[in-house]
Amino acid sequence: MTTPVRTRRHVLVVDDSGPARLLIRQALDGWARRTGQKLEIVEAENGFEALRELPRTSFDLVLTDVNMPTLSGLELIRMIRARPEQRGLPVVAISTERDAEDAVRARTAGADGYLGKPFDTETFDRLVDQLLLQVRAPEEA
Amino acid sequence: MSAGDLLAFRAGGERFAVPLDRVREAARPRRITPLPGAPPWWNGVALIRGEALGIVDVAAAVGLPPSPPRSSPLVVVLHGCDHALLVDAIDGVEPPPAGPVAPPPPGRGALRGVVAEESGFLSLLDVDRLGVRGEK
Amino acid sequence: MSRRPASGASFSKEFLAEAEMLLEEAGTCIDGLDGESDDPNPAKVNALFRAVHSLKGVSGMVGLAGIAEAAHDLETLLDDVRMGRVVPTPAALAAVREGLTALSTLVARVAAGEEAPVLAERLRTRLEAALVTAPVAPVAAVPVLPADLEASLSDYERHRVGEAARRWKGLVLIDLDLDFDAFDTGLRTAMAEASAAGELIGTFPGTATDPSRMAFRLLVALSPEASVPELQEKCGACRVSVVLAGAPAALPSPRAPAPPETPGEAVPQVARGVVRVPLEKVAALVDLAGDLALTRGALGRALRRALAGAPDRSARYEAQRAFSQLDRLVSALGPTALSLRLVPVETLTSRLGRAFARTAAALGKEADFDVHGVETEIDKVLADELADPLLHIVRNALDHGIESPDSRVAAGKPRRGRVSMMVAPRGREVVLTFSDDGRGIDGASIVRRARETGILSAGEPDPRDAFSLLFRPGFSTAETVTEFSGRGVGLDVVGENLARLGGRVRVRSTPGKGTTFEVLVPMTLVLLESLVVRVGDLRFALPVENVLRTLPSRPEDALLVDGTFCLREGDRALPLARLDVLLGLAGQARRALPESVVVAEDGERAAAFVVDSVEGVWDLLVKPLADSVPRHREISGAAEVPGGEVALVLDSGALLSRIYASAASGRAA
Repeated sequence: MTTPVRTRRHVLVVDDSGPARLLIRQALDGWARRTGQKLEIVEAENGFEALRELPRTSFDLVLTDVNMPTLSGLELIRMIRARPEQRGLPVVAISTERDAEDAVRARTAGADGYLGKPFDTETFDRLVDQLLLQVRAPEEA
Repeated sequence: MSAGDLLAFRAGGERFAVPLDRVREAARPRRITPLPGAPPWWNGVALIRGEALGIVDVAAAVGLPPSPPRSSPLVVVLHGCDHALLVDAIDGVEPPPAGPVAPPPPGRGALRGVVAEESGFLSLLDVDRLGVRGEK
Repeated sequence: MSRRPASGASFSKEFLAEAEMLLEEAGTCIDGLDGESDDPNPAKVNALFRAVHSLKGVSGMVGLAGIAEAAHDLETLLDDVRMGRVVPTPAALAAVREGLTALSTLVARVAAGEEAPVLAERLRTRLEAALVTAPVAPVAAVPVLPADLEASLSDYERHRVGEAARRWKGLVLIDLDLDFDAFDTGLRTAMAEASAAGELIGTFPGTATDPSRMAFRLLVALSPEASVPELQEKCGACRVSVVLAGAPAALPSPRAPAPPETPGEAVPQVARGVVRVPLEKVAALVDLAGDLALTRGALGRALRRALAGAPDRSARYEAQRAFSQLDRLVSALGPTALSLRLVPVETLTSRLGRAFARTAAALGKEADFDVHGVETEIDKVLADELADPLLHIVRNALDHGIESPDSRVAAGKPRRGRVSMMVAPRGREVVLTFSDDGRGIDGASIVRRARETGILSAGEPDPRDAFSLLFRPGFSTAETVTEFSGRGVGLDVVGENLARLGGRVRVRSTPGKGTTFEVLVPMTLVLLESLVVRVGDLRFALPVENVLRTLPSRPEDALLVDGTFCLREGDRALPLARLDVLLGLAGQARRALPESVVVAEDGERAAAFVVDSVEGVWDLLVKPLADSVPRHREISGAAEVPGGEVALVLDSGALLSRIYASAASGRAA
C-alpha cells in the first residue's frame, strides 16, 4: 500500500468575489483534511494578478472563475495554455452554468475540468482527486 | 457558511480563531512601519486600502515569543477594529467548536476561551481586548 | 412575510450589497442602450448579460432559487440578444427592463426579510411575448484569423467577428510584447485604448516565446473613425495586423474627422465644453505635480545657498522673485490637478433616488425624495465610496423614520412622507444633509436603551450628544429588529466608513417631527504639503505650514541657556531637542553623518529638533491613526511617501509641547 505523497501542493484560486474565494478555500481545506494532503493556497482577485502569480510558484492546480470583468476566466485559461511551461498545469473553470454550452466554451479555451456553482463537496472532491492525485512527485514512477 | 463560523489561523506555532463575521479580509501589506511608543506586541502601522491600521502581533500579544520579521507579512483585517492581526498562516473557515469551550488560563485576558483539539488547542481570541490588554 | 433568522444575517448583507451593485450596473447598461437599437453597443449588451449572469450565480450560492430562476430567464434572453439570435428592438429592450424590474422587486423582498421570494408568473413567459427572432444574416467576408486563435474562439467571440464582417468594420490584431514587471499596466492601457477605438472582442496570448516577457494579442473591431497608426502608438504595440479590411472609411488618414453614424450626433469624446479624461491620466498628472513640488523644494534650498552672500543685489532679488512665483504656481498645481477628479454629485444622487423608490415600495411606505444642490462637485473616488453609507442612511430614514401612511394620517401629517437631500460646499468640505419628516428620535430613549443593552455601561456618564450613541456597534432603537440593513440599524458601519474617508456624521432630531442626518466629507482627498525627515530607518512628516526652516546642524548654533539646550535663531533662543531621544529611538545606531535641524512652530511657539536628514517636501495623503492605537501622542497619522515607504505624521502642537517639556527638565540634547 503506498502512503499518500506528503509534498505540499500549490493551488491558485482566481475569482473577483471575496466570498467565492473563501468558499473555494473552504472546499480545498475540506479536501486536504480528507486526503491528508497539505495545500498551499494562493488567491488572485483578477486575471492580471493571476498572471503575475503563475511564474512565481510551480502550481499544481488552478481554479478560476470564468465570469470576471476586463480579463475573463476563459481569456486567462487561454494565456495559461499558451505558455510552454504551463502546458501540463491542470486548470478548472468555475462557472454558474450547469449546461453543456459553457462547459464546451471552457474546454475550447483549454480547461481540464469544469465546476458549476453552487457545487457539492462530493463533486468537488472527485474533481480535485482526479487532478491533484494523478500528479506524481518527481521521485515517484 | 453559517452563524458562529470561525476563521482559524496560526500564530507563534499555535492555532487561534476569530468569529468569521468580524473578518473583513486577509491582506499582505507591503511593509509594516514601527510605531514609536507602542507596546512590544504591536508591530507597528500599515496602510491597507487607504487606511492606517495598527498591527498587533498575535503571538506576542498572548505571551508567546514575538513573530520574526517577514518580507511579506500576512494580516487579518477586522470589521469595527482599528487594528489588524499579524498571523503566520490562515487555516481557513471552520465551524464553531463542537466540544466544550474551556475558560482561558488566568492572565490570558486576550482570549475568550480554549478548545481542545486532536493535536493541541484552539484559542478563541477576543479581538477587541487583544490590542488593549496584551500579555507580558 | 417571514423574518430571516439572525444566523443568515452577515451572508444576506453581503448578498444584498452585491445584488444591489449588479442591478445598478445592469440599470446603467440598459439606460445606455436606449436609442441604440439599430446597432446596440456590444460591450454594453455583454456587460448587461454578465451582470445578470453574476446575479444568477450569487443568488444560487445563497439558496435564493426564485431569484436565480428569474435571473436565468432574463440571462437567456440577453444571451440571445448578444448572440444575434433575437433582434434588439425597442420592444425587446423594454422586455429586458421588465425583467430587471422583476429582479429588483425580488431582491427588495429579500431585503425586507422574506426568505424565499418567487415570482407569481415565470419570467420567461412574460419575456417571450415581446421577442422577434432574427433572420440568419449572410456574412460579407470570411475573416482569416491565425489558426491558434481560430481554434480557441468562444461562440460569443466568433459571433462578434461575424458581426464585424457583416457591418464592414475593420478587424485588427494588436500585438503586445511587454516586460513582466509592468505587464498589467501595459495590458490594461492597451485594452482601454482598444475599447475606445472600437470593440475589444477578445484578449489572447501572444506569439512571442521569450519566457521572461508577456505577449498578448488583442482582437479589435474598429469604429470607422479609428486610426490604425494612432492606435498602435497608444497601445504601445509592436505590430498591428489587419485581419479584415473594413469599408474604405475604416482606415482613414489620422486627422480626418469621422462622418457621424447618425446625423446630428456629436463627436463622442467632446461635448458641451466637457472633456472626459480617464482617471489614470489624472493620477499621472497628480504624481507629476508631486514631483514638481519636490524639485521646487530642492531648488529653493539650492538657490538660497547659491545666493547667500552674492554681491549683485538686484540679480539676487530677481532670482528670489522668480522663485516665489514658481513656488506659488507649483503650490496651486497640486489642488488644480486634484480638482480634475471632481464630478457633480448628481451621479450619486440619482442612484440614491432609485434605491429610495425601490425601498419605499418594498416597505409599503409612501414617500417622496427630493434633492437640492446636485451640481455640487465632489471627488470622483469619494463619490464612489460614499454610495454605501448614504444608501444606508436613506434606507434608515424609510425604515425607521417615515411612518406607515395610516400612522401618518392618524398623527395629522400628510399621507406621503418626504425625505429631502441637500448638498452644498462648505469651505473645503461638502455637506450632505438628509432630512425626513418622520417620527423623529427621542434622545432620552436612546440613552435609556443604551443603558439597557449595556452599550452605555453603568459607570459611564450620559454623553453630551445622545445621538452619538446611535453610531456605537450593536445599537438599535426599533422595537422589532428588522434585518433590512443586516444588523439592526447598522449606523456603526456608516460612521466607520465615513471616518475612513476623513468625514463625519451628525444627527439632529425632534420627536414627532423628523430627523436630520448631516454628513460632512472633505471635498477632495486632502493632500498635506509636508516636510519629510529621517531618523535612523524611520521617516517622519510635518506639515510645511508648521516648518519655519531647516538648516544643517552646527555645534556653534547650539547654546546652553540656564541648563537648557537652545538653538540660536536670529536674536532669540529656541528650545532644542533630538527627535530620536524624544521618541525613544535613541537606541538606534548613531551615524556620524552631518545632521539637520528643523525649526517648527504652531502659531504660538517655536522650537527646534535634530534629525538625521531632511528628505524633501511632498504632498502627502495623510491617513489618521485611530486613538485606540497606542503610540507616542506626537504621532497623529501615517502617509505613504514617494518610494513606497510610510512616514509617520507628527502633530506639531504635541511635538512642540514635548520639546518645551523636555527642555525644561534638561533632558533633551
